[in-house]
Amino acid sequence: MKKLLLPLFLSLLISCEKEPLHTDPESKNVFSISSSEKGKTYQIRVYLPADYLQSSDYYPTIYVLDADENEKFVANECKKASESLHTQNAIVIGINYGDNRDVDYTPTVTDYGKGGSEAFMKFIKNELIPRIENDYRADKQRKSRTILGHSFGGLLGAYAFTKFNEVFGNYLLLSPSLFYDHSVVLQYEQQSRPAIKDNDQLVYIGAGSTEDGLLPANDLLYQRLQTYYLHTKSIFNVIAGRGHQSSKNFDIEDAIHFYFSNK
Amino acid sequence: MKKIITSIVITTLSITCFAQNKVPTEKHLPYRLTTEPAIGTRLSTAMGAMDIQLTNLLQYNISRRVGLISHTAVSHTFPNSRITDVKQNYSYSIMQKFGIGTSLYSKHNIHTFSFLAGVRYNAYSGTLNNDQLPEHITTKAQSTTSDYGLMYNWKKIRNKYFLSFRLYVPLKDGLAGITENATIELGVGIKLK
Repeated sequence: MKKLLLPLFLSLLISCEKEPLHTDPESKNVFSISSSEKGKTYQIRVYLPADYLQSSDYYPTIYVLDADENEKFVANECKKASESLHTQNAIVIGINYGDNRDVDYTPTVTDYGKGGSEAFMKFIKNELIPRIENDYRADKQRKSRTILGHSFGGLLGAYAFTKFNEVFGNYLLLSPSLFYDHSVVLQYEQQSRPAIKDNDQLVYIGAGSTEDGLLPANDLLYQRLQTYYLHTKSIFNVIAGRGHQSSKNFDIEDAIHFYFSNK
Repeated sequence: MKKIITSIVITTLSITCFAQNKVPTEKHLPYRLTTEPAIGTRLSTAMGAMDIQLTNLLQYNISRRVGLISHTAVSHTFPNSRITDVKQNYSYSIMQKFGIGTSLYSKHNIHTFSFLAGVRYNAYSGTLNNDQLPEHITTKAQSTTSDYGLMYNWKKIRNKYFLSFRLYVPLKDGLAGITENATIELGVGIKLK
């Protein structure tokens, strides 16, 4: 019996670790929206702040890409950040796939993507956002709208920054694949810069330190923001020792905290 | 995943605690001290993230069942072929871990299960060269972080020299960490004592 005590004790020590928070945030609405722009149907999940029903306030919004993977974690991090910083929470809108992500999240046609970002952004701008702002007390100002995406989702967020800058005032770009198609989004940025550089906005760029070849394009975008965008608050956050997937949740946490600290 | 890891730990530690009552002597111990150089790669190489590792495992068996382990690795990561406008100047990692393991024996095989912990140093430099962009910047990143996990080591016993196969499963960062950093190694072990 004594011989069993040590291994049992050690196994308990190893299995006792803090579980990540997976509980659903308090209030969640689900609806589907058929896009005339895209000819596809998207399922949307809306996470409302805890005080939404007791309040008559209007709330900022965060639109989350790859929603199945990320929306709950984002909503939980928003709740934690808003409470710790004593600031108003946001409505979190998860946009699930109506088409493949290599269609909606890529701006041009290559071996890895089908170049449907423009149509997808038009759907978000002309159909989804008006629906959200009609059905919920969502603040309609540009500065109160945020887009959050990881990998190809981050690429779409950067594309929105360059080509649809009037839609969102805040961009949370997590390991964005800016290398896509010979860094085409950085070329778009050059073209759009005169029109967008004086806008007020927040831009968070995050990546894992072991993401290697993904880093230089993101570093360049950050340097351009620092050099040319005098009314933009930006940060390039490198998560030490982590890669493309293992950095994601740490990045979401830091991005949400950056947003709530600076909105 | 945690239940599987916990079961492995319970099993290996129970085997250790239920060792033979007979005091182990050297003639029951095939190897007291071994060095096992090997070549390895991350399992994610199969998905395009290619690297090559030179590794060495030192194992000192304090008894037939229990061994102390040192594992050293140096790796080079190849550039990602999807990224066409970045010239990689260098990308390498240096890893050092120490740990403890327990061994099971069959006629010509030794199976060692161990827990290792240590540090990992990563360094990268890449230069963006794109004709469409006026800037040419060089980006560097480096980090020193903890590294811990479970290793399975299979030794195919011959005499002084033996085949050594290893599988390392990191416990940090859950499934994402395993996908990015689990490794396999194959080499030749040498009995030193």
